[in-house]
Amino acid sequence: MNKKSFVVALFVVGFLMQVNAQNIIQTVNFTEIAEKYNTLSMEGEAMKWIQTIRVDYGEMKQTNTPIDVMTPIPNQIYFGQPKLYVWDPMFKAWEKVGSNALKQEALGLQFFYRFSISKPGLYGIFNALEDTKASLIEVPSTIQLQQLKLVSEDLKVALNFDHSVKGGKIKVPIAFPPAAMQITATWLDKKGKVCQVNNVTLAQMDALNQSDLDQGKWTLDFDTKQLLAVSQTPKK
Amino acid sequence: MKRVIFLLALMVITSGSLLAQRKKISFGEALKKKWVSFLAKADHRGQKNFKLDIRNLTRDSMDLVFENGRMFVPDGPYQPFVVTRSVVLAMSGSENKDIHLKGYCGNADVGSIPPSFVGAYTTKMGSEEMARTLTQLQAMHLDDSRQMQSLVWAFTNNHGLERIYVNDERGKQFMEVVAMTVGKDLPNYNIKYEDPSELSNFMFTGVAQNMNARLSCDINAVASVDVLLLDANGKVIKCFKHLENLPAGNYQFDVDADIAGLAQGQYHLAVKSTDSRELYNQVIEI
Repeated sequence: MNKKSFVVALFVVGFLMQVNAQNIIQTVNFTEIAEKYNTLSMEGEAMKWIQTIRVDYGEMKQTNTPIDVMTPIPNQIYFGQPKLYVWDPMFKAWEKVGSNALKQEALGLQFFYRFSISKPGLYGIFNALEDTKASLIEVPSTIQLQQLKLVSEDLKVALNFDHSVKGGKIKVPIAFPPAAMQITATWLDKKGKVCQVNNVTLAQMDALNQSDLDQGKWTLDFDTKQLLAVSQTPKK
Repeated sequence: MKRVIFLLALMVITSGSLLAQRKKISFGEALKKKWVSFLAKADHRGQKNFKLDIRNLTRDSMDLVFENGRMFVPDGPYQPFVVTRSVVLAMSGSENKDIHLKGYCGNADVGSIPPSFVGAYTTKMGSEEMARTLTQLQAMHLDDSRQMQSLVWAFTNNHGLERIYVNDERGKQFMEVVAMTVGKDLPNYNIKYEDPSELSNFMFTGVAQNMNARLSCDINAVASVDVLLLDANGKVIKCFKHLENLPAGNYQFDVDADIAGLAQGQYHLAVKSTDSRELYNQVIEI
């Protein structure tokens, strides 16, 4: 790299850093949410992602001055009542902000969500899942599941199960997971060997069978180790 | 002859009734003619009533009009009192009467009169513009608005109209009347200053507390925008609003924000897109 292009590169980097530094509020897409966070509430309920924003006060003297935020409502019909949540990094879940923090308002021909932010953080708008059924993943006693993540771009759902399970069951609040749902899992086989699958779709799993799915059953075959899931109506 | 006597009698009766009519005279005019004298009682801090002891030095009755904008100035570096509600005092010949006048502090830069004050007061009229505005407000029954004190300082201390804080419909009506009377545009922002503490002698703290603003902005293409407060160097101090993916059009943004802790000085109200385009910039004084 010659001197001139080095100076230009430095200038571009500096400019980009400045632009980035000035953005107090940034939108965060579902891919990042699925990768680094999840769509689970503090109560453990799975939610459907609608929008997320990151609020960074930087060096602003923002004390006692809330930010009035308006984000466009996507051109999709959402059933139920979307609510505003804030990410709790300690519990790794979304905590509801007030009971009536999210309003919907028209500005010109566009409809917006409107809410107020009084501290920096990661804020998300989520809806309850429309699915009234759930599935149970049965973890065979021969393996110890250490981590399981299910991500559906179509349903806008990212579910994380961090706790270690051996011979137990995991409730998944989706009765019929889409074939494109991605699975990331880590488990120990009976010899204690660490096994992993990363972003494997349900369609790629050997045992995915349409008739089983229709009957409310699905089977995941992780490299000859099987996790069995049976769909059922969730117990309230 | 009978007719002449009747006409003479009628003239006497008529002239008598004319003589019996009260004279209506302004307080300033009556002082000038030495028809009245006054004694003012020292006002303490924050008091909006001012007691005057008036003596009619003539034998005639009169209706004494206390003018809007009349100032009573104490001897010494203390707050003058400005009359903000004109009243008429009916006085008989040689009568002594007390009157309580309604008004406000007439100088934001000086302290109130100490309880030990024994000096005298002089009186003078404030600016013609102030008198006209106060009269207009009284006529529209707006002279009891919360903005009265700030309005008086707008005339006596040259405070900008933006220092008159408005946050309700009555306040807006008040400001419209003021702006129309003084022939100025309504400011698109206003600042609320902290109330003085119980121990302070000064009525104006100069400590900004809240700000109201309304700004209008054209957006030519879809943009995500922030409504910001910048310091004199362009550094972002506060973010009031964020609007994501706003379609092109003309927008009006209302700001009602806590600005406690900001020092007095020049700032900028700005609208910037998240790709750093400046769509609006206005210098404001806090």
